[in-house]
Amino acid sequence: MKKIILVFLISLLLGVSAFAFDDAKGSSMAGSLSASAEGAIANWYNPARLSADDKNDIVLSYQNPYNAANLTAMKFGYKQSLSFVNFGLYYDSIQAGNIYGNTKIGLNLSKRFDAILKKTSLLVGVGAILRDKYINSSLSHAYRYISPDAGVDILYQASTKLQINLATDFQFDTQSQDITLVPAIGIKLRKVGLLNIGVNVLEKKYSAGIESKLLYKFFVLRAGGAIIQPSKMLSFSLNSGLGFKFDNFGLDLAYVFNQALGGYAIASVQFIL
Amino acid sequence: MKNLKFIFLFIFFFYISSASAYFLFDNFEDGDEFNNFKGVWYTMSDADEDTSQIYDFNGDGIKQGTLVVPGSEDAALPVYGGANGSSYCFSMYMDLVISEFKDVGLYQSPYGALGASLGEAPDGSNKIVDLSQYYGIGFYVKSDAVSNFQFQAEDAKGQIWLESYKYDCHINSPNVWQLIMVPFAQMTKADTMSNTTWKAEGASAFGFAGENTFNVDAVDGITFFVSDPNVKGNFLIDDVYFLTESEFAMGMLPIDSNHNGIYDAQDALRLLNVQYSDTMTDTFNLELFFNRSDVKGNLDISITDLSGGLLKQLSMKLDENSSVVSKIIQKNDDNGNVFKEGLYILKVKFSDNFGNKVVKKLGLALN
Repeated sequence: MKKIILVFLISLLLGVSAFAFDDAKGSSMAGSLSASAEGAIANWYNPARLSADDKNDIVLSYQNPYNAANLTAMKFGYKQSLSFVNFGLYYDSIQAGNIYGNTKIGLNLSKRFDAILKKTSLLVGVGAILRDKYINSSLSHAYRYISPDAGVDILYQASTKLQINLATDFQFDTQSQDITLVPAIGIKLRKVGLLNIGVNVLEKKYSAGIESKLLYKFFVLRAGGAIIQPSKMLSFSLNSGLGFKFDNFGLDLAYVFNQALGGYAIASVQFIL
Repeated sequence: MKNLKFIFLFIFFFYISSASAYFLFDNFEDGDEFNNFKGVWYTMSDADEDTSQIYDFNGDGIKQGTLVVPGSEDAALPVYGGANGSSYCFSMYMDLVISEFKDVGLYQSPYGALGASLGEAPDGSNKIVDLSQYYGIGFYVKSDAVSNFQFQAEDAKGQIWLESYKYDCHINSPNVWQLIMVPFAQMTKADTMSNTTWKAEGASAFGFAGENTFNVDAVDGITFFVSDPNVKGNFLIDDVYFLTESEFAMGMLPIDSNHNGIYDAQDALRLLNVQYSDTMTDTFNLELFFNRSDVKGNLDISITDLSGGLLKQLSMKLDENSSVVSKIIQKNDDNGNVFKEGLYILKVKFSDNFGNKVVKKLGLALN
């Protein structure tokens, strides 16, 4: 138990960064899903969460962040459960016209250790991110470097219906020397919904989100909000979203309203393999 | 026969060239207070005059009873909602009230007017524009309150502004754009200057010895003049043309493709570019490009991080005859922290002189 607490505290101190633009499911709950992400989207929030279940899936996400004229962002995530470890792969791209480009290829491995304590599991994930960044200008230069990514999740199965997760993700950007830490708490009520509370320490983003499965089996509602304060000037966002699931196909839509920048929509599709 | 063809062609082109000899005085689509003779548009009222008969009720030096918006000291800029589907026109709000008599036996003459000085000639010279090549003036007018007004032209001879000539006009339907065409030859000397009150207060000082026929080549200003008492409402002018006789006979205003285009404020803010500075310097040069060089306005800019966290606010001004604005910006945000290399969001709120507000967001890459 002491080791688990130690690992968790170290992860809190180190910290990490999620990519600045989330997928539709995460965005609708204002991001910071370190303790709640499931499936391929766990690649972006916390590699440890890749072993939260044993489903295999692919996620594609597209957005025009803040409806900015020259910005586009897309994501691709893949998760495969193997007998001894769960494997994740993702590709992110954000472009500002032909001026700026930032792409990431991430590779993650995750392992679940059950029954370390009664009703408690430890999910551990590690990964590497190949970053490729360019700013096309008269002094143009490109960066291509590898950064480490890691995450932990302490899962407590309080009952057959209630699951509580304490988790954090941390990434180290070897080029900027930034450490991003995203600790979060996730409370999951089976067949009812999810509550997620998280903090992005580097970006000073404090977020909370809920997901309700009360209405229909194939339909979920999501809502969230975040307070962002990178400087003395505080702003906030109010997020909402819908999720549909038909057999092996899922569609998630999110709408983000940011007080400083206005609203925009995000669409993601999921294929369960 | 061959020569005859050339003669017909010559006549045709002569007709075409003479037929397009009109002058677009202003259609207000450029959003500024200047007409195309580089003179200014303004408003005026009897309350502006020292000799106004409007009584100063409160004794505070402000004469009561007449209100004109914009006032004579305010910027007289076009407003949205021009004639024939165009975007902009020139507007004046009036509240002309006869409230009390200043002295027993005297009566008030409240008025409000939209005016324009002819200013410089198109060639930039400082002389008064010669309007003698034109047969008359055509313009659109609309009002929700005024049924009668005068078109007046001021004769600059001797710098006596009271030497004006008028043409009485009627607005047939309220709040509908109506074409008015005034032949200069039918303008008569303004009789408002010859009433007994004016004479009693100093007719000799002004003198009324000017010519009784309108001398168009000496005009240095035009006025749309409303003097009905108890008028309260808007008075709008658009598409003011000086026309030749042949154009006048057509009974409609010319279609000027260069000036009748509708200004699309949404489209004006076109492109962002950043002139990168060296990583080692503490500034960068921000350049914004516009589709329209003739549009002027202010830019309120917010720089945020990718999460929408507000980092820096600044303002820039889009100056006349430029489609580019640039500004050297410190890399420190408003909290004193230095911007790191990377991508930010630039939120640009563009406010033009018409009151349009356009907000656009763009990626801002810094190195």
